[in-house]
Amino acid sequence: MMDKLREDVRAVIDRQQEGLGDLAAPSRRVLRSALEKRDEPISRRTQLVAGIAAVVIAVLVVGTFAYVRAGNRTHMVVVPETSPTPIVEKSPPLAIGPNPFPGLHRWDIDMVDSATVWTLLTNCNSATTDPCNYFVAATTDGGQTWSKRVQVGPSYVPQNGDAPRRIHFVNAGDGFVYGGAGAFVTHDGGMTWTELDFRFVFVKGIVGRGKTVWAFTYPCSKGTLCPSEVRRSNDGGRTWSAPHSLPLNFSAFDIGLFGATGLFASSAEGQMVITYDGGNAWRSINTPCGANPFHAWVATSDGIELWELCMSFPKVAGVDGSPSSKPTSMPVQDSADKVLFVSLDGGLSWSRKGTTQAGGKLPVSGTQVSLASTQPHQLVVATNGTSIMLTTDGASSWTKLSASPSGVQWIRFTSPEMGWAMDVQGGIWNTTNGGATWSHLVSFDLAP
Amino acid sequence: MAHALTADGEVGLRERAAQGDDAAFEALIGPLVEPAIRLAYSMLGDRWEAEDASQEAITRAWRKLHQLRVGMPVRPWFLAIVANECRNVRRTRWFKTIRIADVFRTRADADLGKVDLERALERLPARDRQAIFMHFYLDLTVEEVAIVLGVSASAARGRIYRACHRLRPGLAEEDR
Repeated sequence: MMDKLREDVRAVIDRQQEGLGDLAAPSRRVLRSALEKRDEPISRRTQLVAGIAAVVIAVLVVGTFAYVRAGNRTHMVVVPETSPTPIVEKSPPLAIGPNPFPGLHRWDIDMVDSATVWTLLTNCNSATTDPCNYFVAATTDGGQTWSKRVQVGPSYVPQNGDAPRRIHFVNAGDGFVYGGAGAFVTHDGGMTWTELDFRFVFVKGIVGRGKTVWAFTYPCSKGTLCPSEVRRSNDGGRTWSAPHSLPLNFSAFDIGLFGATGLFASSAEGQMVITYDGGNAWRSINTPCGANPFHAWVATSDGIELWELCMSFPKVAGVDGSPSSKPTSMPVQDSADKVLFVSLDGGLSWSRKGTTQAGGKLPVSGTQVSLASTQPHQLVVATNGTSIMLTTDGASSWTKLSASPSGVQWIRFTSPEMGWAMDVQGGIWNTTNGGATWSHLVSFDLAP
Repeated sequence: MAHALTADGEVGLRERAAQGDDAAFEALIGPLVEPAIRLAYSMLGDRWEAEDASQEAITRAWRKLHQLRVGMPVRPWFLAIVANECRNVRRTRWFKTIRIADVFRTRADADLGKVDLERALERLPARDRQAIFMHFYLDLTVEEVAIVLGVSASAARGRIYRACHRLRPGLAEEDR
């Protein structure tokens, strides 16, 4: 009986360990890495721990003195006039007018509600602007007045792709500005900015709401293969969890929230990781896109119904693929074949719901796609080549929204109802009914 | 999965490794890295965490090698460091990894007769599961399991016996 038990247990464990595969090479790699690491002088590690302890003790001592000196009174916090984030109680219509910052271009905007808008600005308007500086500013009255601009980070040379590119606020006080290899955080409504204080090489994305934030980063230098990481902060980015390694070769491209505690990230190739409980348990989901998609986009409203749009390599105008066919001017990538898939079981199985190929019933074109799903069976598809398309019956039929931009750079939803779109001319559109109808609010200049 | 070193060869390697001989350390610990990764994977459920924990354990083993008592076998001593490292990782992490592809394979391809046993294994307390894993899968003796778990040999034997007893009802049903 014991021998049979041993045999059966071994068979069960063998099956559980199948995923490890042949461990000969990984074992050698692990041993080598460990031997390299062992040469780190232990005294330096001890010094680091001692340094951290000293800082903590100093903070506690200073904090205690400050508390005692304050006599335990309630403080009135005076927000300077230049504070970019006074709390708004009413939501006047957004009316972002002419650029209130002459000489600066808008890189990105983040809309917290219908009146509160953050913008990332730069003085960089050509490859010859040197140095390039980046600033943030905000309006809380729909664009009638703006805060003073505040510089974020150091100066950059124009060609530096690591300079700030995105801005995102998770609440009135805590916000992030990040680019390829740098990220900055504010906890005082944008007045002061500091670098994120954990180790990373590249930033893939930062999302969150309220006090909960997730940061997706890549910890290794370019050309070095290692897993991307995700960290969670429960206090608006002040402290961060230990990193959780994502599957090797997964690089977060698109990150989205759903429900109260759901979060997903997808790679450009369509691989997904998803969590339903705020990051306690993660699942990997394989792409239905096939082996070599050019790009893929993912959307979900509940984490169960998942949409994925896979795009093949773009077709270039004037080039038919034959070596003799050379374009006479700069080629334009104007279209690409796309296939839409849906999963109704959280990614366990997928079914094909349409394609842009002949007779395929997916009426979109263009090469930049933005997907959003705000409730089951509903999907908004926007591209740089067509108007916004909407389906409310699981992609059986599509409605072309007549009052919508003809080409879209991105769509973002801040709630199931409230969404924003930026068109290719820099126009801002919004929806208050989950994407069913869109209103054109204003246009403004884009950074070149 | 058997440990290839003889006791005499191990003693010589230990002495040289403790004096800083890289080759001796590699010869001593190298054969144990694969069992270490497998043990870590069984405790953590994540391949990359398992490799990280094993790497950290090797580094610690290098630094602690001089503390290894004469007569103490290297394999359970090293696996105890690995198990401790895994417990540290589990204590500090806020997430759990489930790879859906693995879940799929387990459910779809599993021999139905083993499903009860698999579930019974999952229901075992973590320390009992570790004992079963080391004794049945890594072929550690009861005495070696005791060293890894930090308990007496009789306690380890009792733990393995109790775990087998808990697994047996599932087998009994399977046999019926």
